[in-house]
Amino acid sequence: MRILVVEDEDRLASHVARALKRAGHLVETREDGAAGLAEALKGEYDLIVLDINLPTLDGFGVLRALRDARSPMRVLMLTARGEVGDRVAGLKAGADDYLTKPFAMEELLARVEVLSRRTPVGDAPTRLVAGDVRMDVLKRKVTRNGDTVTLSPREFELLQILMQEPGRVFSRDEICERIWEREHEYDTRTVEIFVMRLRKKLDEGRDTALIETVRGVGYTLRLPT
Amino acid sequence: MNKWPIKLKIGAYCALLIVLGLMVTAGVMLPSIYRQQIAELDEQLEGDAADLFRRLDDLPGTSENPRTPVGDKFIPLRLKQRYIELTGRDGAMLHHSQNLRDASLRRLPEGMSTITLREAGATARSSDDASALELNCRIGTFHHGPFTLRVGTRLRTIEAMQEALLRGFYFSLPIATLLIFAGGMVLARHALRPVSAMTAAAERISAQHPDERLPIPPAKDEIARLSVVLNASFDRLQRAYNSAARFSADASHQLKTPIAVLRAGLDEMASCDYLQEQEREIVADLVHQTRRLTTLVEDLLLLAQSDAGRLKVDPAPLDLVPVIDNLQDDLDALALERGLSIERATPEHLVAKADVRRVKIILQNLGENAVKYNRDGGRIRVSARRENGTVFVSVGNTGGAIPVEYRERLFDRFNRAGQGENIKGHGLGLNIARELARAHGGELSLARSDAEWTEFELRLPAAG
Repeated sequence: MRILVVEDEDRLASHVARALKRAGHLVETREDGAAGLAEALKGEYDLIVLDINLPTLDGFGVLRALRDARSPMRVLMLTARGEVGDRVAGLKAGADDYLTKPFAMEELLARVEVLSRRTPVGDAPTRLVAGDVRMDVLKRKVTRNGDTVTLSPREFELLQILMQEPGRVFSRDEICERIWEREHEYDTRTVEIFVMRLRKKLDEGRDTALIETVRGVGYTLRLPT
Repeated sequence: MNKWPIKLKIGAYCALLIVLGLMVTAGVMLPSIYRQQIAELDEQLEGDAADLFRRLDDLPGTSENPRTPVGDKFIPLRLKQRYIELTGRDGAMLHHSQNLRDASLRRLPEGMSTITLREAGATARSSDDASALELNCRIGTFHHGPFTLRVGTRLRTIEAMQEALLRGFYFSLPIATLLIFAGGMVLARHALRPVSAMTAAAERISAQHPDERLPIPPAKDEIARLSVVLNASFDRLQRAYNSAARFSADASHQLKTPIAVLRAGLDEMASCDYLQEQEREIVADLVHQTRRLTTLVEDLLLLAQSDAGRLKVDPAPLDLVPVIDNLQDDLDALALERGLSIERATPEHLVAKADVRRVKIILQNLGENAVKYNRDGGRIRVSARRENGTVFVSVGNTGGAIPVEYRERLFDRFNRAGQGENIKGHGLGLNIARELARAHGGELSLARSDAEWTEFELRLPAAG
């Protein structure tokens, strides 16, 4: 994908650009709103990663101008303020998705990935399948090989996170962020306990372990080969 | 009187002043009228004496023999009511009017004097009241040749006028007082009308309408000056308030940007393939620290907003039971290592009017504290109920009693209620939880704390 990053903090912009390039995208960066808008209006990009606090023209202004120009670009907004007002304003103004700073780079890459598929954001799949594990998100039911597995709310959330992107390694902190948003004192320890409990319920009496620990990094859902 | 409303006070002061004024007026006016009338009377008596002397001179033989008593022939009809005593040479009594009876005027000093006489024939009218028989009279002593004439009259007319004036004064005093009191109140209300308008405007000035100002009355009076001064103060307050609000927004951005750079750099580092396991653990811990920093920044921002009266909550009907389910799940996981047992008493549904993100923070804080301050092998109990439009969520634990002297400070900032510095956490949890509960129109309080049980109670408005 061709991605334009408009972010005035140059070091953040370069980290983001490098991560996106490593994921196989073509990336260009701009450091202020007006320049970003001019570049975006060339029509050479599929996606714009847009900061809200920008010199010359803020993110909302850029977004409005893009929508006025009927640009088909996807817009992922970055906001320093986790305020509901900002999120609502951003989405109302026509952003496709938003991320609150600071964010996990993996999270950004995942969001970009979702946007590249051009499926409407927010419509997370209601049925997930990974190997012989099936999850019905709406009914909150999980089966493995047809057998119902009863999960606690957090175990369910954890499995859902892993099943949405099988094969991707999630760090403990990223999982914590997804489940609780806010950091709390024992969260990484709690994640370890939930992983342990989930493993017990899913893998008990089977020879293939579903959740794999990547030492020093985190966890991943291993796809059967 | 200090506690009276200003209207009543002004009315009462007016009434008091009018009473004083009337009394002073009466005290000055009545004697001066009296004196004036006496002076007129004296003149009249002098005229009478001149008239009597003239007629005495006309009486044949009197001047030749000023020792012979004279009858009342020299007294004209119009002076028949006067008290008259005439003495001649060597003090011989020449005439003594009948109305004087046995009273003698001879010892009176020269000039004009006021004396008390017993009324002639008064005994017949009223015998029981001795004082009623006595009449004040004005007597003048005049000389003409060998004759000394004492002529006098009653003061009844003058006294009656004095009495009438006094009666009128007594009668008008309460009426005037009442009128002035009522009038004073009306005037005060009228004068205070701009103050009422100011009060109404001041009540409208709030976090939602910071631009509202007091009306300035058209008259250039004290109230107008007060309005101007107060408006200037409000301007200053609003500027301070705005800069505080801007500060929290700016601070949030300023603080989060470097954290975001830090986080992005650490994530990039973590994605490098050549890191050793030990280095990966360090990076993972640093990532965790950036999350701690973010949460701390958000908490401080939240408190800054709360102080500025700008803490916004987005209340919507929210079933608390799934939120409590999640809390219980977290507690179960945490309880494992500490050997805690978790109890639960909640209805099937419990719908509050609350902001889900905020309520999660409150319950997370309460749950964390219940684990943190509990003893190993203790109990935690989460219960919830609805009562008269209020939803109660209680989180109790078997931690030690919180000393009475610390209970007040429990919800203060950066306070850990004397539990010592060896307990983790930044000590903002309860403070934030309470601010959030209050922003919902609810409350967070310590319901019980003794050796066996410590329980916090969250109250939120119920929905539906």
